[in-house]
Amino acid sequence: MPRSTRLTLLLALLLPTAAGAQQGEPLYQVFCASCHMADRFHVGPSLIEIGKLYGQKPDEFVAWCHAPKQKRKGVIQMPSMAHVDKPKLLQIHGWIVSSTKGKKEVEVKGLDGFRASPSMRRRPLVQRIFMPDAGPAAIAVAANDEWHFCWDAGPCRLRYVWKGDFIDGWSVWRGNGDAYAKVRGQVVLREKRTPLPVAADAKARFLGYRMKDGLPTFHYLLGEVNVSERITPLLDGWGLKRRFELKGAPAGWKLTLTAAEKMMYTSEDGTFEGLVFTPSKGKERAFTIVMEEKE
Amino acid sequence: MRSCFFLAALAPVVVSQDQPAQDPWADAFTFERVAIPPGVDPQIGGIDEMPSGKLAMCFHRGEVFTYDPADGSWALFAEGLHEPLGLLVEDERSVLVMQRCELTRLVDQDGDGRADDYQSLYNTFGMSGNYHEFGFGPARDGEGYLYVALGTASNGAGVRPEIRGAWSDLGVERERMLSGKGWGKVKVAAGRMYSRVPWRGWVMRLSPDGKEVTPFASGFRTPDGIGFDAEGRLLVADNQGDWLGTSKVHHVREGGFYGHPASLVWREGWDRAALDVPVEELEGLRTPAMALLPQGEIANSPTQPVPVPAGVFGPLAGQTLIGEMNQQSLVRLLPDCVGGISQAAAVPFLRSEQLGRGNHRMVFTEDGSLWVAKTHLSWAGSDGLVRVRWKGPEHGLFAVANVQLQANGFNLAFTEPVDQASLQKITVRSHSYRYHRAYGSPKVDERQETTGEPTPDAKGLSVRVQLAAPPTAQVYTIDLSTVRSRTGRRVLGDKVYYTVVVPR
Repeated sequence: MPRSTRLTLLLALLLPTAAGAQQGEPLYQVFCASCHMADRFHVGPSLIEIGKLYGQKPDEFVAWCHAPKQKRKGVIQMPSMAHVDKPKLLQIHGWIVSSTKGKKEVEVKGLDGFRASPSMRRRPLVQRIFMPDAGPAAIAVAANDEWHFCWDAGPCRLRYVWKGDFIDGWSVWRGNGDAYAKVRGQVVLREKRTPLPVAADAKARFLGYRMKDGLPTFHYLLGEVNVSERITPLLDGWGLKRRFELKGAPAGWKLTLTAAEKMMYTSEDGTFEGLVFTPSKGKERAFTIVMEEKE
Repeated sequence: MRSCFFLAALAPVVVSQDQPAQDPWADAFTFERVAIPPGVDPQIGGIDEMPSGKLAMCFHRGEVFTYDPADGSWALFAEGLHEPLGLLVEDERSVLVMQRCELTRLVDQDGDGRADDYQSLYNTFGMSGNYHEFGFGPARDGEGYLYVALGTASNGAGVRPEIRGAWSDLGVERERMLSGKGWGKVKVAAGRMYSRVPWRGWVMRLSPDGKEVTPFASGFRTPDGIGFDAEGRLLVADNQGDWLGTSKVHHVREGGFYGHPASLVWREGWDRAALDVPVEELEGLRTPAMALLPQGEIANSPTQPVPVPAGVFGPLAGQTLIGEMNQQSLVRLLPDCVGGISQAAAVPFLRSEQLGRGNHRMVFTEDGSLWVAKTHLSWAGSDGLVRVRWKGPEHGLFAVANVQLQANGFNLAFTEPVDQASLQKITVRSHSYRYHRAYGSPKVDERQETTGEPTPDAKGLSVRVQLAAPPTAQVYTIDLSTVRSRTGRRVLGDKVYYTVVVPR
């Protein structure tokens, strides 16, 4: 092919793109810029990456914009651009191709910029967040630097206790919440049901919590019984203690706790027969159970 | 001003008349970014003013801070909340916050500036664990009733093994609805947005004491904006998506259904899956929106409606502003009433890079400031807090004051006299959207309207725009970009989107 013909062909190829590109920029600003940045991943991929994927495939670009799919994990699905017609999308395509020529992608690192924030690192700490192995209304509590628990405001009961570091909520906070927080320690106790002897179908109603010394006292109704429950760390660092105060509980209530390989239960307010706790006389409506690590 | 005109006339090739040399909004308003306390994830879910003049704000990771504009100090009021997306001050010691999981009253009982009582006021709505089930509100009416809006779940994920509340069997079986490996094959049948736990897609009303809950209205998708206007109308903004050809603003009344069918499964006696209901039947059930907000042009993701109080933005007192996430702009709503039906024009407001995106929650304070609180939650948006103030009458606020539908066109009132010669290039286009299951809608029935020559009244404050064809139930885009005031000012918000619900 003679050089001049090649040049003409090249110009013919370039010119419409260049013309489209000029009108493409304002269209990009209106329809795309809130999610797509020029040189780095934002809500969606950069123009550089889009240019690499679709630079030679304008029709596929248009098809994708009109019917996008979920492609990457952990990133939201692009909404359809059905309201932007094909000629406009082609102009945007032209702008993407011409404006990204020779540009390099800037790597964005997915680190939690607020991990060391005082409101995250302080102990004790209460944090409502999606927790694994619990209902969606769970509450995570760091009782101190070492002991933590997950209390579920749905069924109104303790779900589990762990030892180690608290939670990493970045997977939830980095986006729109489609994740669970990570438990950063070893679970030492899981309760299968409330230790209080209510009927299995007794309705649980969460009333809220009261903060004292940075820790919550949970208030809830189990059937007709009004319960307050407060879990605090043992001063010697070997576990947690759990105080119940009950209103409207019938006399003779006994609690049944859950067996845990690494934990043992004691109380000065009553006696244990295996895992069954009987409060002493005068302590039926207010008692404390110690959950201590076995040596 | 005059000299600007001369320059533009001398250099017509470089500067077209449509392209402002500078930001006209920045001529009339100041925009000031407020620094957020270090270490705090600066996405703000809700904002309101306390009686002392301090602002209370809730943040993405659950903190509630107060901010004192008098000295710029911040103080932690509460923490540990789950994605709070709305905040309403009751008094100096009591704040309501809508979290994902409940409406909470935070009370500082001992007066030390920190909430010690976290009262769970409303938590009997369902949670499937799906990430898109956000809680919005609360809004309070004149009698003290509280209104919250509950977002639907997204088929970007399924549901979780443990849910809170009842499960509706109307739809794909529960085991198949679980997030995980097989979800990709189920998601289309699940519906783009779905409601399988109670009151998702509903506005709920609580009695002032919080004890009585009434399902108030249904048919919402992601109603991230609920508030009362100056006339006491309950306005709810909803986001473009499935069943919403474009974003909308609804005037919500008790018992109404506003178009997204997922919520119907929670109607008393309802026995069919949402996607089994024919469109014609839904069309008969739904109340049309008060205003359609053309996607990409005026809004992509509207948020909280807030009335403009008297004495703040001059001639705009009594109007409603609505936030917008994706655009560097707010929406100003100009209500009209035809035959007892609310319909409205929407106009861009504060369309300025200085405002930026992510405009999620707003509050006016008595000193004349509009505080715009921002978030993104990994979608389009931004973060932080922007304070907006009008520079005052001497800097002007030339804008459309209201739009009234006439039998043969529109009457536009302006805040300052118009230059009659500049009216000739006003153009009007009309279009509508499809009501369908698909995500969004292209504009349909697009038409360039034939207009007579727009005529101003003697004072130049009112302009009549007549159409050759009488307006029908469509969106009318009135382009005022060429209009100037008699002092040469451009119109602030120069596209008017009027939604005709009922022709006159």
